[in-house]
Amino acid sequence: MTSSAASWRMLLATAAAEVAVDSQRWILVAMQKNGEKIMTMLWRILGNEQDVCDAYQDTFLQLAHWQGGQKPDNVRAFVFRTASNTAVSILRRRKVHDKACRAIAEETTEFYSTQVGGDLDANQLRETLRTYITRLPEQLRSVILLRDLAEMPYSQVASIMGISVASARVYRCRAVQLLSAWMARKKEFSQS
Amino acid sequence: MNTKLRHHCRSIRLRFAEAILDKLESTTGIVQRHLAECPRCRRLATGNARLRLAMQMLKTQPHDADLLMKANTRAIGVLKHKLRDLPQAEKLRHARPRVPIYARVGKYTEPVSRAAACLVILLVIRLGVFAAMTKIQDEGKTAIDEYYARNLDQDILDDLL
Repeated sequence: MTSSAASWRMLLATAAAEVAVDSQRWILVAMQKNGEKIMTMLWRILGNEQDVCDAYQDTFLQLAHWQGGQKPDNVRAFVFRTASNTAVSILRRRKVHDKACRAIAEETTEFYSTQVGGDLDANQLRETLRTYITRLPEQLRSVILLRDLAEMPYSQVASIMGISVASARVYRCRAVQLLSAWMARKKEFSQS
Repeated sequence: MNTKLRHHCRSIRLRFAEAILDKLESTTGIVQRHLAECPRCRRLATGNARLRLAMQMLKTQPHDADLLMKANTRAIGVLKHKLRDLPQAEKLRHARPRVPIYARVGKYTEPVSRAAACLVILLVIRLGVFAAMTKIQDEGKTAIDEYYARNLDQDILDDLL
């Protein structure tokens, strides 16, 4: 009697596990559908493999645990917004870390002697833009990240952000104006 | 700065904002003339150019071909065991970025266009040669007809006389 009850319990547990797997299969589907675009966007924001992998993992971890493993209404919007926010957080942390490192390196004066050659300007330019993107207000930043770095059409950007296409255009226009004004500041540009 | 110049600034900056990153033409005559006179807009134009350059550099920075594979493997690693063992997960672990069709076809465009050009040249030559040959044939035939017509008449006349 007890053995049959135990076997029933095991059977039920197995069935529950199967249901759970089936109910979370959409995570893999989301990864398959959006993974490549997210990875490209993350790479452009972060420019570092390790950070890209961290942000990517964090994004899907958050997706898997959202409200106890439930599926969000708009999975695409969820993953893109989570990925961009995670990337920007990582970028900000990295900037703080870099600043501290630079302060230490400047004391030893070895830092600048190692950065020679043609790559300096390209890297500097990329890092400057990344820094300025993190400084943008949230809405403007999201539009720039989705429209320019993830290369999405305005219609998709608008649906992910839950705004109209016209608003997305206006936000991008403002973001571009701000970024170019910051990029024009030569003094800060050369220091960053 | 005079009022006319200031009036132009607004429209010029609006054009910049529209033009930047969209590869629209921002170097039209009116913009160029304004930039020559207005230092503020010139500074803004410099900022725009830097922004465009930096954005292009961000977009063109290459990454490892297996980055997607690595990222997927790590992301799948934190999912439930049952999900990790699915064939779909296995496929994702070996996923590679898809190369866009224009990039794949891009390397063949030059030889294909050369071959097409050669074909066109051959066709034109062939048409030209055939047309010329037909013309020569027609003219030759006409000349022979005229000759025979002229001489045959004379011969017949000679014979008759």
